[in-house]
Amino acid sequence: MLFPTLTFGLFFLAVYVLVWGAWSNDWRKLILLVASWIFYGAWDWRFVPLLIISALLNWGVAALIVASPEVAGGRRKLLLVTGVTLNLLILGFFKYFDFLGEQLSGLLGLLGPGHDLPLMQVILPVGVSFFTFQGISYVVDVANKRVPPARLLDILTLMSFFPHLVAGPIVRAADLVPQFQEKPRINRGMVTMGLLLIIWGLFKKAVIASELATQFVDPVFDSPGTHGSLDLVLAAYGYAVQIYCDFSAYSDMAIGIAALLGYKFPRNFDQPYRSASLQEFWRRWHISLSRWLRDYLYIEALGGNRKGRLLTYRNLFLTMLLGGLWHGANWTFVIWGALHGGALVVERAWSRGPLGGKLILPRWVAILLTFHVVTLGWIFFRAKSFNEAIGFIGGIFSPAQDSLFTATPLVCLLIALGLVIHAMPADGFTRIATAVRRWPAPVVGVAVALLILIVETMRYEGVAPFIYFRF
Amino acid sequence: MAINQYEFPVDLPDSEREDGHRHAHALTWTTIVIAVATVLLALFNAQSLSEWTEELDPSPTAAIALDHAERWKATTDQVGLSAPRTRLHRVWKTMEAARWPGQDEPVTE
Repeated sequence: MLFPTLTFGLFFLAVYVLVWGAWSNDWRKLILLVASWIFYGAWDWRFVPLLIISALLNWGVAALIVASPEVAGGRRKLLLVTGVTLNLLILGFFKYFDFLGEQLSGLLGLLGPGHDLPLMQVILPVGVSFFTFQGISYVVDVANKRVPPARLLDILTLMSFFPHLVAGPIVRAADLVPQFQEKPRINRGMVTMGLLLIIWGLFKKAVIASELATQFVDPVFDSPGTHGSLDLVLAAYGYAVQIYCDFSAYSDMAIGIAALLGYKFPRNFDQPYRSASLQEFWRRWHISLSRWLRDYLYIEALGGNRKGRLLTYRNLFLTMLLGGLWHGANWTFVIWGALHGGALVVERAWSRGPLGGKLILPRWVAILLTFHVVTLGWIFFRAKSFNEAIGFIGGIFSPAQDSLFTATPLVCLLIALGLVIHAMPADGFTRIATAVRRWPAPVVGVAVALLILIVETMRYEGVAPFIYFRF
Repeated sequence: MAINQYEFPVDLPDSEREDGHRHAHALTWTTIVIAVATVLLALFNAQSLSEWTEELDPSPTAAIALDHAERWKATTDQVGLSAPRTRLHRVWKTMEAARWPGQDEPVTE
């Protein structure tokens, strides 16, 4: 069930009526829980029990940690390690089992024929990476006393809540559980901003991302050898715009949908292509994942920057490498993570080196440089294999003879639009929402219908799944 | 953990003052917005409803829904309510079909 479809629209209308009509907060959460399972089950009913088991596991481990006496530090630590390991086993089995099997088969193949391992063709449950990370953060936060243990119903609702379930933002217990514990309240500003985000997300996904993907980016990436340098460069820029518009659209719509139900989600994107460094980029791109990786992997597991310069660089690199692997079981994601990790290490070493304080690039040059490093990374992210990515980059510098130029004026316009929106005032939507919330409801209703109708006339026929669904 | 403006985009700067209004008032306001938008879209965007029913898995219920959606679309076409959508869609298709001077290679789909 995809957000920009009529099926979801009807589903949401039913949920809206039931949730706001509920006579108690517990009933409201039960309705949300069942609705979330229906939403998740629309992809594959077989994985709904997995979602429930994952929530039960994290709730149970957290409860056992809290029940352990303070003096039994070793037992608490053992429970924490067990909880995190079980979460990682769930993620590892569904996401990396076949990948590791293939790699092992490849290695055994070097020993000679007859060493092939049977693969299971494990189906990847939608959103497993998101809800396992959410579960890990809850267990770690309870163990570190950053959050109190929550009721089972709250944890089930936290991990299943349909707006963020399949592609984030990764909303932590500290942010959402307190909201679940009280009767949700809305105000006109919250609703107006939510509606704006939903429509803006709809436009970014259904028009910019879908049009670019189907009309230009996919055909060029599928056969880079037949396209000229300009097409390849524009396709790389096009993919940078497409993935931003696709993923940030999902987050925007999730934030807006949750707001209409009375809940607040954290920001997940903040105009990432206006970043003047990789470090800044990761503060603006997929913020909930960046913070998760920083808090639980870089600082908590690896030690952050507390153990000297070299270990800090190692930790940075490992964090990005594992962040890359989180996206999928493919060497291209590992290379993408390594590229970002390596660039972050170079950036940090440069800024702390003898030339760091003396040679400072103008901000616009730094933005251009950062954008191109990020776009180079996206080529590996988008390509099906390392060789395909290298072939794509090679084609930019030495294109085939009689190569095509297929970027239409509309494609160029959409790429430009996708980049120009990064130069818009950061508080643009806040200002619009602040004005619109004073309008009478029927006027806002007409404006919403008009904007959706305009998007409907432009949207590509059918809706492609969001890119991050496969993560 | 405190909720702050940067972290949560739906928190507008002076929403605390606005929270003084009754929650029920905001809920009524929201419900009217959603109801008006839904009715207007049903009137002016019957095409989407029709396309959606066409994609439903075949069943007796889906057949009834398809029949109703087709008749509703025919009605809105007859009254002229679908004209704005059709006109805007035509403009969009013209933009899609536009090529640079000398560029006649069709885009691969």
